Amino acid sequence: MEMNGLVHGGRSLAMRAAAPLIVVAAVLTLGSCQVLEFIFGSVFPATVGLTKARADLSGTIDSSSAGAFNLRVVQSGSNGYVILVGNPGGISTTAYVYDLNLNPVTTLTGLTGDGVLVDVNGNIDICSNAYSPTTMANLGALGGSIYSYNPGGVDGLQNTGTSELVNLNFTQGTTTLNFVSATSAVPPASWTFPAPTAVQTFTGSVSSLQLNAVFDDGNPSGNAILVVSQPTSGGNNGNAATCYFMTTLKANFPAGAVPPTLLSSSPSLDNIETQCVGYAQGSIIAYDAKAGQFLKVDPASGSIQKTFYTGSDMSNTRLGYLVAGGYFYGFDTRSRVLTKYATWW
Amino acid sequence: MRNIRTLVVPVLFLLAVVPVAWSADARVAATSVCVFPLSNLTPDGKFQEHQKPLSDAVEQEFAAVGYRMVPAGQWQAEAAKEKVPADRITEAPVVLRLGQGADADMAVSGFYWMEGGRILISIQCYDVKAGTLITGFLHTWRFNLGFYNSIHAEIADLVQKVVFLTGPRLITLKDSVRVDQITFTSPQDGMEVLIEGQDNVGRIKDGTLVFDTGGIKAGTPLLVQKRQEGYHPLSQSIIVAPEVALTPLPRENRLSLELDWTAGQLEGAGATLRWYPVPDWIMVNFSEYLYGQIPYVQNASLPIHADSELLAGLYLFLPPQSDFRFGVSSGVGTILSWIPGTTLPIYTDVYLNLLSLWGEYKVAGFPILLRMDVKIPLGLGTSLLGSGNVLTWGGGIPPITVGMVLPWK
Repeated sequence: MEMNGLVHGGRSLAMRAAAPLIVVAAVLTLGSCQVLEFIFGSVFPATVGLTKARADLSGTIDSSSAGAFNLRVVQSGSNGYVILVGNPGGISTTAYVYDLNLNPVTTLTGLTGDGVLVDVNGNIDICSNAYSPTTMANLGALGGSIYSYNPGGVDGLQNTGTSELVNLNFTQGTTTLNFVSATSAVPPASWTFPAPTAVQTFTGSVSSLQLNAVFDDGNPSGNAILVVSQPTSGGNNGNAATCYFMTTLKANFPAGAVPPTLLSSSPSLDNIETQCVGYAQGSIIAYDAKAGQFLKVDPASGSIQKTFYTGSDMSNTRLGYLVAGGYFYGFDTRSRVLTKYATWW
Repeated sequence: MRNIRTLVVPVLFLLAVVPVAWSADARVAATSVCVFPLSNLTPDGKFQEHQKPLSDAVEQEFAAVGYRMVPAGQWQAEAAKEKVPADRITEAPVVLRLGQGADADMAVSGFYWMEGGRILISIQCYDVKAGTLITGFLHTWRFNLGFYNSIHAEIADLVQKVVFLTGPRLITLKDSVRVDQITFTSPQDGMEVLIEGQDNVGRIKDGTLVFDTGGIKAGTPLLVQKRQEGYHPLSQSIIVAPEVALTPLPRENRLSLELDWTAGQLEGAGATLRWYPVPDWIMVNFSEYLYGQIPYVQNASLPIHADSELLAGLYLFLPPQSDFRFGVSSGVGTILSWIPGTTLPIYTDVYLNLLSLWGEYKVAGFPILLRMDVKIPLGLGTSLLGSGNVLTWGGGIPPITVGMVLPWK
């Protein structure tokens, strides 16, 4: 009996001790599973709480043209700009330039090309002209025009070892990665772009690849991350698809040394909205269209580091990120509102 | 000798009296009584806590003299089948029907009404087989510590009266017994009573109204119409007896307050003012719901939303006295959103409430409601929600509201 008493007493003690732990575990489980976020979900998107500034372009860009605009966030020294650039009519390009608080800076029209980058001199190159990073004054025409081959990230990489500028694209319908580069030119005027050069043909049973985004990790001798997808696979709606995150040294591109097995050896995620991929603080930021949540992804392993349930469909929003973090920007192609958000991670 | 006489007289007395007493006890013990819970007619269902002790008191007094009590289970199923709530069995036809269903010889029902520190109690005892009222009482007391003593004594008197009246009668009632006067009893003074096919009988005064029938056969069913200004008119079926209890009328509401809590807006609460142009049927609602939006990340603000809405709606089919009712409404609304810590403008989301479908069930006299709204934002002005998509929360579910309606005026 005493033994039984001890056993019962021990069990009772253990249960009493475990009770608070069970409660804590339950709360943590609720939090980690986002059950609380679901229960206390709102009819308003969760991104409303992140909103810091907005610019309404609904009176400027008509609804049929909004999808033709890409969102670019560029920084040169302490100067940063949020640029909406697009060529909806196929005739000439317009760029709406805002500072990082979404105050309008300038509107550029009649441009050729649709790409934006920061060149080796630190100037902001938009389509066919170079602009001062401090005043956005026009510094003159480039030797050629920059083209945007992807809806997200950056339109060019700098490999400062030899001051090359690399502009990348996939040739649609094939497995070939092409790029153009300027190796020794000094922008703006003397800068010329040669014809695209095939760098690498990926091996394996891949086809119809699309380049969705190019990211620069911010380190001059560091990596570029290419986000590529096959539009017909791994997505459940809209532009969602399986995305591969291909990380390689920036120096590999001008050297033609991109490994042909890179695609098959790269991590991937399904149901990624291909127009909503970004890069900040060393992580890929993606939007899972099926789960309706943002993902923070380790580009090296593809593992999900953090999630954020948005409570709304973000698939029509073009996103741009400050590489050092702090804020990100979204252009909703339906409402045509440009919004500045605080980071959620 | 004297000692023998002293012994014989009491023995003879006992020999004479005991069979008589035994006979009365046996008769009582052979009589089954069905006691229904007293109905609480206090406005707004207040003082419900007294229902059980009062009902128990009635049952205890009948059981104390030896009557065989019918278990509640024998009539509850029948009451449920007839959709008569167990605490609303007051009307004579219903009492008799349920008593018959439970195979009881007698049935006891009644009600109480508390107001201003006083309590009115009415209890009736029916002969189920004969379909007649045996006796009853309507009495008021000041409600204080001595009340329960008084009510026990009153019920004990009633029980003794029942024992007497149900004993072998000197005069046997025939089927052709006629009732010359019906005394209507009701706690609702001023209620006008009309008898089917006849003129106005009059109004209840001091809890009673006497109706000269001119001689109607006892047990005849009659339909009584009841009406009073500010109340919904009702009909009540009765069986002719010397005393008939009339249930009170439900009050007409012209104004009500509704307290709401909505999924998708749980971090707040709302209130709705209902104005009824047609009392308890057609309504115009103005509602205001204030809520926050909990940020789950450290950099986020706490947005505040204020949802104002104007709706027109109506109840469908079921009358005001029903415990369950449902209805539809529609209208327009605007949600103002403020994001603290930013220079952002106050956002305005105008929406159309295409369909608001709700049901209400009375609990302790107060309707508890469940409502679903189909709201479509119009994208007018500085909008956060855009336009076109039905508002949902969580897993694509439209907002669902629980609330309580408080009749006001």
